[in-house]
Amino acid sequence: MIALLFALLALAMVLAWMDHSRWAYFVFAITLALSIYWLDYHSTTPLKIVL
Amino acid sequence: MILQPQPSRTLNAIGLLVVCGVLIAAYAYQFILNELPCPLCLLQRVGLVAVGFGLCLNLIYGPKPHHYGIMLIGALYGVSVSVRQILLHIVPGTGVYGSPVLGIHYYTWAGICFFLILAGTAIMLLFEGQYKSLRDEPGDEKFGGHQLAKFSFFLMLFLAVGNAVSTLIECGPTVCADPPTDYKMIEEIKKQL
Repeated sequence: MIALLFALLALAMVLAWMDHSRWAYFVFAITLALSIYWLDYHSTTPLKIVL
Repeated sequence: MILQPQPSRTLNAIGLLVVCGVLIAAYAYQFILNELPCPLCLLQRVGLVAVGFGLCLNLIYGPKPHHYGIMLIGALYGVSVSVRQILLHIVPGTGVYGSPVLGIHYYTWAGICFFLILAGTAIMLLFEGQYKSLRDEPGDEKFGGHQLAKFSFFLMLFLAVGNAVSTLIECGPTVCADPPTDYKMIEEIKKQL
């Protein structure tokens, strides 16, 4: 669910704005982990190149 | 090299406005040309918003090396996604996704943007004077009283929320279709009526 990534980043911005910087970093770290998962999930098509 | 905190904030605010401009351009292509963003396109937008988060931290708390670090992480993620999509279509005859803008496809523009963000952030990290903490000084307020910083922060926040809503409408609460054919939630609502 990619919409959740945007929502989490928006939440991290609001937390930073409210001076909860530790929570903002924590939410960012979770977002990053989920983003990497979704990149791996959607990278299924084999590349037609020789690496 | 010397760069004072306030001019650095101004540069960060301008950088954030540029990132917002790229996201607005992506929205323009989505709604004016009715081109639905693919999952990898959406993940590139996530990379841009992640860079935006690092810039927002610089605007709220003043420039810090770890805020630039967050920008670098966001840009590295974004460039990984865009390079993956460029490689999908780099061989002639393997198709393209979306309409070109000035002869270059959106994912290639995204790759160029992320490279520029990486270079710009690396250059900004060189200036030491900007790291002097203004928030520790009495009388300093959030955003350093910088109106442009406030405006760009709330514009970025608005775009992040907007992308969350538009992605939810396009993909629904589950996995995004690859390639997408319509706005999933609108179609669901139409079926129920």
